Formats: sequence, C-alpha cells, structure tokens
Amino acid sequence: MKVVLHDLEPSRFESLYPKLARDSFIVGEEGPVRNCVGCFGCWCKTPGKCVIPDGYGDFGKRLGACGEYLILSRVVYGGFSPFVKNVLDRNIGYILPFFELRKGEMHHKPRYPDRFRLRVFGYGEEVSPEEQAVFRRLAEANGLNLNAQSVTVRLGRSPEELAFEREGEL
Amino acid sequence: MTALIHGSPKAAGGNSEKILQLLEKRLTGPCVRVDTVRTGPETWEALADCEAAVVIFPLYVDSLPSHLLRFFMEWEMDRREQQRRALSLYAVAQCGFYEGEQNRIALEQVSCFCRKAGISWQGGVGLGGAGGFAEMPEALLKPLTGVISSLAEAVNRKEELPSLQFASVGLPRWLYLAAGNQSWIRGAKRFGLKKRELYQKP
Repeated sequence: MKVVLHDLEPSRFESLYPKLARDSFIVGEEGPVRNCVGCFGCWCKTPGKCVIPDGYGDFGKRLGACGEYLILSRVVYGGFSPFVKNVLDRNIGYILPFFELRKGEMHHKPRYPDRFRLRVFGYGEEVSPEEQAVFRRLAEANGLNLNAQSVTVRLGRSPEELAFEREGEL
Repeated sequence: MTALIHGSPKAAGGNSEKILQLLEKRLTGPCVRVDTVRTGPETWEALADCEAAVVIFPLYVDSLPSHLLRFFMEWEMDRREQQRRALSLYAVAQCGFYEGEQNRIALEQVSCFCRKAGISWQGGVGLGGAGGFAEMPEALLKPLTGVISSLAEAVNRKEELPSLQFASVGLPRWLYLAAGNQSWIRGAKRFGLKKRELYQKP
C-alpha cells in the first residue's frame, strides 16, 4: 500500500498516474483545507488525529501501514506548496509528542512500529539551484523527523517530466 | 517604520508572540504589527510603508507553516504588481526542539522568498528550546534573549546580520528533553487523558 500526497488537479493526477490513482491512498485537494493552529490537540486531546474535522488531518494510520509515502509538490521557496505543506502540518499526529535523540538531535518518537520509504518529487519551471538544494535538505529533514526508512528526492520542471510511473519506478 | 510580522497561526499567547514582544522592547524606531492569518489590502499597504520588517514564526515540520507560505506568496504578488519600494527583511524561527540549528532550513526558505520578491535578505536567528518561553525562569532564557538583542541591534543600525545565528535555552539537552516529555503528560491531563492514552494508534 502506498500513500500519495499531491497538489495537482485530481483529473490531471489520474491521467498522469493512473496506476497510483487506482492502487494507492491518495490525498489531493478535493475541498478546502484548514490551517494547523498549533493547538497540539492531535497529541494531547485526540491522540494521532487532528481535532479539525475536514478530512485532511487523520491519515496517520494510513502512513503507519504503508510501505511507501510519495509526495508530489510544486517547489515554493525551496519547500512544498501551501496545500501539501498544509496537509503535512495537519498530520503530525502520525508521530508521538514525546522526544528522543536521533542522529544527535532531538526528534519525536514514532507512534507506529513500521517505517515507510519516503519519496519526494518536486516540480517547477523557475526553481533556482538554491531552492533545489533547500528542497533536498528539507526532504531529508522530514525523513529524519518522520522516522522514514529511507528518503529519495527527484526534481523536474513539470509533473509530466517527472512521470515516475511511466518509467517503471513503482 | 519597521513591520513586526507575527508568523504564527495562534491568535495570542504563543512563543512567537512572546519573542515579538521581547524584540519590540529592544527596537528604537517606530514599529507596526502585521498579522499573517487575517490579511487584506491594508496588510500590503502597511508593509509598503516600511523600510524594514522582521518575521517571527514557529517551525512546522522542519519548515515554514503553510499559512505563512500563502502569506509570502500574496506578498510577493503584491510587490510585483505594485512595484513596491526597497525593503529589508530579517527573520526569527523558533522551535520546541532543543537545537536552534533545526530552524536552518526554514530560514533558508525565507531567503529564497526574498530573492523572488525583490526583498533584501538581512539574515535571521533560529531559536531552539522555545518551549521554555512558556515556563522557564528568565535566567535560563538568557542565551535566547541574547540573540534577540543582537538581532534588535542589527535592525536598529540597519545592518545585515553577519550570518545565521542559533541559540538554545540554558539547560543541558537531557534535562530539557525530560522536561518536555513531562509537559506532554500534563497537557494530556488537561483533556482527561492518561500518559498511556497518548500512545493510541487510531
């Protein structure tokens, strides 16, 4: 099972990645998404789930059971696009609030025993080398924080150029 | 005029606001506060009147919070469309992890934003152990208030920070980590949950 978080129009995603759209748990922008408000309710009030009931803050369990977590995002200021980042912000319940040391730094303990492989795909026409470097570092940092088994990053000018499904990478 | 941009989605009382207040006290010139959640034409007009700005924000998943990304995108568009005047931007990123260095990527993102928006990036500071602002005595916060003072001096002198600066609370990491873990258990109690219930796998 794969989980895919993306920021494409749903129909464009389905035509570009038909196999993924059929076989995976897809998180795309189907309706309005609310901001994380930093209340920590997903850790202290409803552990593992965001308290905002808009359907974008409760897929920790899916992440806990998936082998691969794919993120496809436009690169914005060396990071993810607002929608993708919004969903990431709303799903920190995937990890526990408690801290531990990993690779010499403080991070959150995992909630689920299994670890996914994180694969990050960034696209954009005007992504500077500086932004590309920041994006790669961000994906690595996310992998460490989310306790991923491994992290891979690919960048391209468009989702079509990335076309990772057609290249038989899945 | 210097804009103090509150980059947290929390309405009031958060660590970013506390840092904003500490900074405001140390600035000698006039300041205007700018909100990043509720924005409108007056937001962009207020920013257009400033020659400098400081954005203070929490670290969310190793980077900028999503609402701040949207704010930056709108601000960039306004600056392009209205051909706004030169502006200098500083940043303060703060996180609950002990290491201030964990804010580096978010500060680099602000630098990327500045390049796109035609803003002069003046550098930033990354504060670790910012959970301490809620509970710790002033003495333990000194390393953090020290870099806030350095930042204020740079803003007052209209100077660029020599490099990104990072700081943490005046506690050993093991002790901060243990105190942090206890704080989650207290947090759960407020909602009638026991420690073991925080480990639920919904």
